[in-house]
Amino acid sequence: MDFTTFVKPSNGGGDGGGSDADVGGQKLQFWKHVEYIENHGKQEDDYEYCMTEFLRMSGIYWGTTALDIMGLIYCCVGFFSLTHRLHLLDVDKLGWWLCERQLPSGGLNGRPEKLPDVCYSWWVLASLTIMGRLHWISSEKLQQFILSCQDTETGGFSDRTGNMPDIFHTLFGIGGLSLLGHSGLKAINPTLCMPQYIIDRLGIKPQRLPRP
Amino acid sequence: MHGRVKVRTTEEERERKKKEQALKVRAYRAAMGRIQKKREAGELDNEMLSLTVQILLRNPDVSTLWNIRRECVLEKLSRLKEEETACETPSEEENQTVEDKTGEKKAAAEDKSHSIFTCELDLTEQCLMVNPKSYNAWHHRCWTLEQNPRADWQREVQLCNKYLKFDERNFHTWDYRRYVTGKAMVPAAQELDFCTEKIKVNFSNYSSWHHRSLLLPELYPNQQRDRPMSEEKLQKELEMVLTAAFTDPNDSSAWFYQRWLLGSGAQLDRAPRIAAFRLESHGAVLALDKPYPDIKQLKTELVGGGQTILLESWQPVDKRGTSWKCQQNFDYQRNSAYSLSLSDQKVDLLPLSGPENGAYYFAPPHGTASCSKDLLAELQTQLQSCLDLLEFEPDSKWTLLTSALLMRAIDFSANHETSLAHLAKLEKVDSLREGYYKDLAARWTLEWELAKWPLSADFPKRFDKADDVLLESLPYDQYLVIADEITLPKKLRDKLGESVPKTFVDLKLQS
Repeated sequence: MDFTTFVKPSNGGGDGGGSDADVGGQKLQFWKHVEYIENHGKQEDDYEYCMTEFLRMSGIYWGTTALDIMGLIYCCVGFFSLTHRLHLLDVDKLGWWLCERQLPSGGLNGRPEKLPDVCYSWWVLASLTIMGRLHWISSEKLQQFILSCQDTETGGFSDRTGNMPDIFHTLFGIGGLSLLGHSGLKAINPTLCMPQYIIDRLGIKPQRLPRP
Repeated sequence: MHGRVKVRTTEEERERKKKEQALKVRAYRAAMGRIQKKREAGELDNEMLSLTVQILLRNPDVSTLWNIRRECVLEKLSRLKEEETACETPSEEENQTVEDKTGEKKAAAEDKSHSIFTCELDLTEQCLMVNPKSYNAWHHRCWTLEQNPRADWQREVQLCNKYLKFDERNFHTWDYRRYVTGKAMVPAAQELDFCTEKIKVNFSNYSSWHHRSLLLPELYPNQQRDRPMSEEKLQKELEMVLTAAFTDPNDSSAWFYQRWLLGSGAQLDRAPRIAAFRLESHGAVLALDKPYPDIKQLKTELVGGGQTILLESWQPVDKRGTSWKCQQNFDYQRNSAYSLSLSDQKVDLLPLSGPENGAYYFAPPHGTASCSKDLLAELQTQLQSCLDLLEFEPDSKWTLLTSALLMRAIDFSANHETSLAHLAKLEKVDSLREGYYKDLAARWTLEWELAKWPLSADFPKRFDKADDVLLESLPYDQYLVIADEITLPKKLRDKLGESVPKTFVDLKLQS
């Protein structure tokens, strides 16, 4: 588990291991989340674990599969990014539709007139990042929304504020914060949903458009 | 896990739940273990089918189990086929009655295979009741129907009607609907009626508006291909959508559709067009209206002075693949007419004024789409309605944006200042998307500047962007590649840094 630039304090974090970055009065609870993710792998006899085991059995991964409409867009944009064919997209049109996903709460939804969900902090945001249009939404408001979805007791993130956390929304919450440059998180690659240093080590260079 | 509220439970309750789940886990693990063993042993039988059902009904997203079921189905089908062929090889001496019997057996076999498919369809239906958004269940349904030569596609269309009553926004059902209506050969006009009905029930049904946008270009094609559908139909759609939008101006569904209507239709599949071109005796530059990194695939020819020259070895000028240079020597003849062809587009070049030798071509990015009198009148009525609404609700985001788009559709040049004022207001009332509106303002400004550039005295040698409006970015910069000198506001120049566009002079120096 190596997605933060912080060194775990010897006392286990004391106050829950909040980062120094404070967005709208909220802090990212690093060590709670690290623990949450670590524990997930140990809970083989957990019902939730069994019910989500299909990911392993199917050899697929939520971050790179088509969960819904937004997931489909992410897959298409990601495919063009991997094949260096982003010129085939109408970036201004698609980018507008994507930035319209941000709601007054700061969270993003997947389609018009739907509720926000932390998982779109990954799908929408990664697509916008690949297309060089991350600045078309409010980064601060989105960070606030993501942070409001973290479970400060158990660690982990849920889809919406006050809901049960799960391992997927934890990935998307942290991934989204990383794309937004939240302090203390290592950079994540928007096309492959993996830490950038690993992508660099492997010498993979997905295409990414510059900001206009 | 979606939409599950975190509730505080008592210690006792937690214990009870834990025990309950432990039992479920045990059952799950036992079934999974048994399935894996049977698969290793190649036992694709009825027991395997019932074992997978137990888990799939609880969690229809285990792809592996659907794969195993497909293996079972194929196995059963091939068994049936074997039985059939065994019956089909009677010796020559055998008489008519045997043939009749073979026919009967064949029909019985068909019935048997049909019942195998029905079993799979029933299971997916049950699973979709548990999770109507299970990709795997929908996929298995498609697979099963594709295997069955007697599949009843009409019934599937009815099933979609039923499911859309439960959830009118389930995009799986809409996608599936597009697939099965194709198979059942439902006429597009009939589907459009279905859409209209759905929208009448609820204006906020974005899925239905989207479905509509796929049907209309096919049913009412636009001859010029610069609008999404015929002008006549477009006018009617505009009327319909504005009624919907005004019913609840804060609902975005209809406004999205409205913007699509005002657009130029599908342009993605068309080849790039020549945006700008300049030629002199030592070389040429070419700008395309959209990026195209594979320029080698496009045949570029210069015709004039009694010869046809193939322009080759284009070098990229920018990273996007929109502007190119070619260092080739031409025997340019001042008094000859020249034309340039790029794939199937052919344009006439104009000679440069003054003492310099050379020719150029320029087509500004904002083209005016065809507009009949009736359509124009409709656009003006709509604009007036929007402006009236703004009197009462000056901060209405969608009205502000749509009225700006309508103004530009009517006369983008005359309404330039007002449409920019709307964007400036949008930056405030819709501050989440401030960055978007700033970039859009830059686009509209450049479209306007480039449209009037040919009227300036030193065109195309000098491009002057006055310092009055602060631009966030410089879109369409490839159009400037034919200029010798580009004057930009200092702030913008600083912002662009190394990506300040190259001039024709810069390119010559580099050669």
